[in-house]
Amino acid sequence: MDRPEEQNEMLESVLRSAGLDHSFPRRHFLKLSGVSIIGMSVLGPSLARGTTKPLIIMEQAQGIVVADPIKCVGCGRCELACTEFNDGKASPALSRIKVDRNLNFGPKGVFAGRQGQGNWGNGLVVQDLCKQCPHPVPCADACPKDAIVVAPRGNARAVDPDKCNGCKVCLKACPWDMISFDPDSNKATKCFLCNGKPKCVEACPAESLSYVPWHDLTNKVPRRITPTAVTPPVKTAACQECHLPGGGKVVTQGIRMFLEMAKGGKPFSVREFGFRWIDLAGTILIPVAMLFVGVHAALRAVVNGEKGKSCAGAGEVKVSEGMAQGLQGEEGTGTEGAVGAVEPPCGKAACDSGRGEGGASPMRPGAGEETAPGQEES
Amino acid sequence: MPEKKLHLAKKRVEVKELLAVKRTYLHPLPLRIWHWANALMIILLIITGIELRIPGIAALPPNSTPLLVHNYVGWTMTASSLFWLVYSLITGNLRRHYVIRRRDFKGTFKQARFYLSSIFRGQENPFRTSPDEKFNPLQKIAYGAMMCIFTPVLVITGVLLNDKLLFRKYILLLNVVRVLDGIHVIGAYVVVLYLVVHIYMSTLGWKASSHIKAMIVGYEEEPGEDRM
Repeated sequence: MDRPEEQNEMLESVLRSAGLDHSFPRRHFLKLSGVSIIGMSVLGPSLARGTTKPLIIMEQAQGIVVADPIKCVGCGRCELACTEFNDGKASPALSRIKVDRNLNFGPKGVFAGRQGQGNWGNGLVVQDLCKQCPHPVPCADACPKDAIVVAPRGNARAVDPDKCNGCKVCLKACPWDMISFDPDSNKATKCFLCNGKPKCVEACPAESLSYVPWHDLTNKVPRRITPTAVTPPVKTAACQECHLPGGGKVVTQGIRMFLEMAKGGKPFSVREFGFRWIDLAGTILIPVAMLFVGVHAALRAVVNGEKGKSCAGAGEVKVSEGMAQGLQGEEGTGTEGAVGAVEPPCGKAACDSGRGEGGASPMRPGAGEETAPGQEES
Repeated sequence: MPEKKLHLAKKRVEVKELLAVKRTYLHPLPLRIWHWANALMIILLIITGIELRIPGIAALPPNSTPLLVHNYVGWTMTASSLFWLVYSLITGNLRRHYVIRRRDFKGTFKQARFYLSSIFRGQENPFRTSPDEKFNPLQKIAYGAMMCIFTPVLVITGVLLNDKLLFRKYILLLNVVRVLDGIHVIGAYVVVLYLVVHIYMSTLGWKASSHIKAMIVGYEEEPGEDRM
């Protein structure tokens, strides 16, 4: 009940404080709207800066360790080599390569061990290693300290122990459970390909492990359709920062965002729409330019149409004037002066053709004399 | 008899029209070829650029068609820009037509007033083009900015974003991929805006087609002196 009045009061007070209460002419409105457009366009990116985390794009890993499960005998020497080289102790639980028997296959996977619920597994030896995700890198994206960095040699994703604070977020973020945690040093650790010379590969007696160049096989192998392939909406929003929904959605999202901004909500939320301000700028700027050009053309067409009509109507008058001036010129004032004195009625093609058909040009005093009688005859 | 007379009269008018047209050789052949090749390249780059932009660059496999086309056409664009620069410096194209002179400061406002208001009143363009100075002050600003600021910026950011070069390491190190991408896209918006206005303005000649014809045959058609 009281709301509209309150709003009116508020509006009035705002106008009063802006010194606009007495009158608000169109000129002021245009000025204000121009200023507010600039303000909004500056505000948008600056607010978006705070809301979005910079995306981490890492150099592609040059290689990856792959295991051939048929050759593997499950001796565990790779785990030993890994921890001896990296940690100076024999601790298979800390190993970056994880070899285990598939005994208890449940939702948590092979490495849940005897804690995992589910059916008995097939008892085969399973090896798993860091996949050196190309993009996005879940552990690096998740790390609050930006401790997961590119290793200088081999471009593997490695934990920077100076930055790591042992929060274990990366352990949860990794979809493959490939990050180990060292409780002694209270730091996460992961496979960094031993700077391009993996010790597990060197240690493998069965030649099961090999270090191969990294290849993206994303679109070359049949897609696995599993229930776990469903991406939660929160993650989808983050993906849309780069992977914009294609086609017409871009435009409709732009309109939705613009309406949202106009309604006075948040300027816009990048995460929600997966739409960057730069795309918004494009969807607004280019139609505006086209509109401007269209209006210009339409105005020209309208005015020229009127001019054409007026030319046709006023042509005779002009001709007679031209004739008169031409005659004056003949009398002795000088034709050049007469030419200079006469202004072109209009320089457009429509008028030109109109004049051409008439056969009389007020601009040509000499010719005017010739053609004017012809016009009378016809 | 009257028909023949009328025919003759028409013929006379036609001949007069023809004589009344003033033709000036404005655009030399290398520049005309460069212009149309550039037009094709820019259109291809805009189309493929939008194709790259919409799904996001990271989602595309490295051998996808739009990516390859954008890459190769980008390199040809780099070459064509370099050609333009060298050609313009050698032949004096840059010095003659692009350098803004003292009188242009006044002419800018005159020209802007013409495009914003007096064109609707059917008045003549205050600037008359000539082989010695083919651009009006506004054109000088627009083309000069395009060729000396935006094209170099687009070419340089495009080359830096290309993964064939060694700079990539430092770009990743400094984490400026997004900055470069932003500059490249803003530059592309400028090009698209410019294209819209350029195509529209090309129809503002004496006849709607006269500027376009001039860019093909080299001769700009204008009403002759006696028609003015």
